[in-house]
Amino acid sequence: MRLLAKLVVILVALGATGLGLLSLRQQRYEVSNAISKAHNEIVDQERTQWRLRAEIASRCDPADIRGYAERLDLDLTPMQQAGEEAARASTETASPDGALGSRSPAGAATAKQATTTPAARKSPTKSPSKSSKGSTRHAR
Amino acid sequence: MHAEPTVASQGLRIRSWSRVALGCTAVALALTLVRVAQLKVAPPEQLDAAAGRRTSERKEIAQRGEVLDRRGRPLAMSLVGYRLYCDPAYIYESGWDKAKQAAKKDPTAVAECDPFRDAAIALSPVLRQTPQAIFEMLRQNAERRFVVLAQDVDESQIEQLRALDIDGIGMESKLVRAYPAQGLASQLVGKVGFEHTGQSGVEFALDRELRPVDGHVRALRDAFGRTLWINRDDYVPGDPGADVRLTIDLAIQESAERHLKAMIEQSNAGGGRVIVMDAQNGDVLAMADILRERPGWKEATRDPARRIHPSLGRNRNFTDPYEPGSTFKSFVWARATQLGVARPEEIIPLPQGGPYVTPFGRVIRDVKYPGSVSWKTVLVKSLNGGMATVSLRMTHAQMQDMVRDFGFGQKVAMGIPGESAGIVTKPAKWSNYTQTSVAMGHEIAATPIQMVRAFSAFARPDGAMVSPRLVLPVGNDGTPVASRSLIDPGIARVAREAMQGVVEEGTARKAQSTRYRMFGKTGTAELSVPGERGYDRDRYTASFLAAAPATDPKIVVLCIIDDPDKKTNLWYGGSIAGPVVRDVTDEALQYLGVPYDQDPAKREKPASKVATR
Repeated sequence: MRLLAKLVVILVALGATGLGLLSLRQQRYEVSNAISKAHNEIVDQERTQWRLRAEIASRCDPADIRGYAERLDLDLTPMQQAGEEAARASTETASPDGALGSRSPAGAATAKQATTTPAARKSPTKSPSKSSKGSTRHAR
Repeated sequence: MHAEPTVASQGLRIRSWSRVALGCTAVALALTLVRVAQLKVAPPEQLDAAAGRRTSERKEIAQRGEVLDRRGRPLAMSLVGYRLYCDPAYIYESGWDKAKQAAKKDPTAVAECDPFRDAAIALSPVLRQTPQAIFEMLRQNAERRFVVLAQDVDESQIEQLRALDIDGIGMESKLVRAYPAQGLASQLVGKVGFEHTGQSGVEFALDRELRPVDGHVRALRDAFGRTLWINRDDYVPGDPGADVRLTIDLAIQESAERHLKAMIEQSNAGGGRVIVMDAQNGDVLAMADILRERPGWKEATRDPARRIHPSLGRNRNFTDPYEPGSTFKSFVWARATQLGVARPEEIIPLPQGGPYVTPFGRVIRDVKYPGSVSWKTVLVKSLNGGMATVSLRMTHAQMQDMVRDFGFGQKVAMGIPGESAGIVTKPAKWSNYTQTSVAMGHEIAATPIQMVRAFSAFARPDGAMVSPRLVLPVGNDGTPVASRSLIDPGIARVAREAMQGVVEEGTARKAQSTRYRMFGKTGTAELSVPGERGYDRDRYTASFLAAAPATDPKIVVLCIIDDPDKKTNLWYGGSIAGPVVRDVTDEALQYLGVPYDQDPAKREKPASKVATR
């Protein structure tokens, strides 16, 4: 009886070990499968990203943006020149009577431009590079 | 009478059976282990073949580097496309198998079966081909196992094909090159070939940097072909090519191409070229090259590769030298002034009302003959006679040094294939005739990029010309490469003033901008007759080379209009190349945020009024 019990214990132990190993192996495969799926998903997403980037790029080339602006009748007049804005400000500051109307001819021209440009009125402190970046259509 | 088995004998039997069972179990386990080992180490051929089919190895596509403009906008990029193929033999067999299955319910199914016809009808709307064309192709290749149906199919077509679920149709992924800038700077960017390697332009010149190294992956698949897993060692990722950021700015490029194209149309010209370069660091901001075919014309310039695809055409800004004509006078004028052979205010004796005749008897013709004028006016009015007079005061060696110092006859060496060094007469053949010709920009040929490089010497405070560059430097490599000082800063200032006169009161008045002051020099050179000696008196190369703003030059702009139609009355450099330079300069400088420097009084006038003065 004792021998039988030992045999049973050994068999159960072997079986349990086998099951445990199989279970571990299965888990490893499942993890590998999940990783593989994730890998394929990443590759797919990456390719979709390439395609979308190309599509975005093809839709925002300068000629297209100009075309959209024309279709929407947007007045993309260039914003005022930063250098002149600073010059005008200094002229105004240096004016002995402090009157806002006393401007140099250059300043007057800039002021006229600034008042006729809604974008310029909204953001008079924008940097020249930023302001010029947005102006793809130059009105003459 | 049998004796009853004792407990002891029963125990003995159980022990015996237990030993037998233990032995059997041990043997079974041992056999199992041996079998597992055999399957692992040396499986039977049949099983091995079956197992082998369950793994698949595929290429892990890596992206070719992108070509970007200076602000990161893509000019060329790679995407994954698909090549569609089929197995006609399998389509045929599979179609018949299905028909036989269907015949159990519908006896007419076999009689009406034509697998190729059915496949052709199903594929026709997806492939955008007629069913007849697909049917013929399948029928003619009925015995083959691999036939390419379409080289490039997009995602939407792939989705449609998946929905159709036709047996015997497969697809393989491959890289395709997209050029999202809608053809802008196409000759500069170039093109890749069938193997996704550079064939022309930057794609060719920087192929080593852009080229990717593909990886590979081996995956174990289930009975349905789905990926089960990928072992760690079975995955080797690809190495994508490096991105290349060009100095080109797409917005300035678009502006240059738009204005150039409009003027080519207006003057019915055979083509044109524009280069916009940062005068201080040599960054090429725009480079346009347009050729236009005119039916019935014997064109002076041909580029058959461009007919195949515009990107395959040669970039004439590098490859095609031209006679610069009067634009070359600026260099001769500056060197002569620097050598002291003529002073800016010195009166150069010239005959009034007739051409100047050199001491060796050459007749130098001009458009107008105003008589003796100052050396400065010679440049402003672009007088050939004045240039010839002063050139004869220089020695041949001095003129040759000037040509060499400004980089003519030497490649710019930016890596673009097929670059020309230009044409310069050899010293041994240099005569007085050559001396006077070169002073007027004849008997010398330069590429547009050489002209822009040389002119940058006028625009830089140190009087040195800067080497143009096409690739934006990374990190600390950004120091521009400049030559030694070629023009004394004082002489350069006087030359700039004289060339401002060219724009304000000389031959380039139509180039005068309402926003920026510029200095430059026009050129109208007669075209040489293709295949013959001498020049065609009615065909020209019109050009204008300028820098702006005059007070603090930021950019150098060159526009060349090739072979304008004289009937349009637009053939002088100042009349057709000038307005292009003016418009491109206005837009480029404004885009770059450069403040206006034109006199306020002139700025009030609309551009059209200035242009018609």
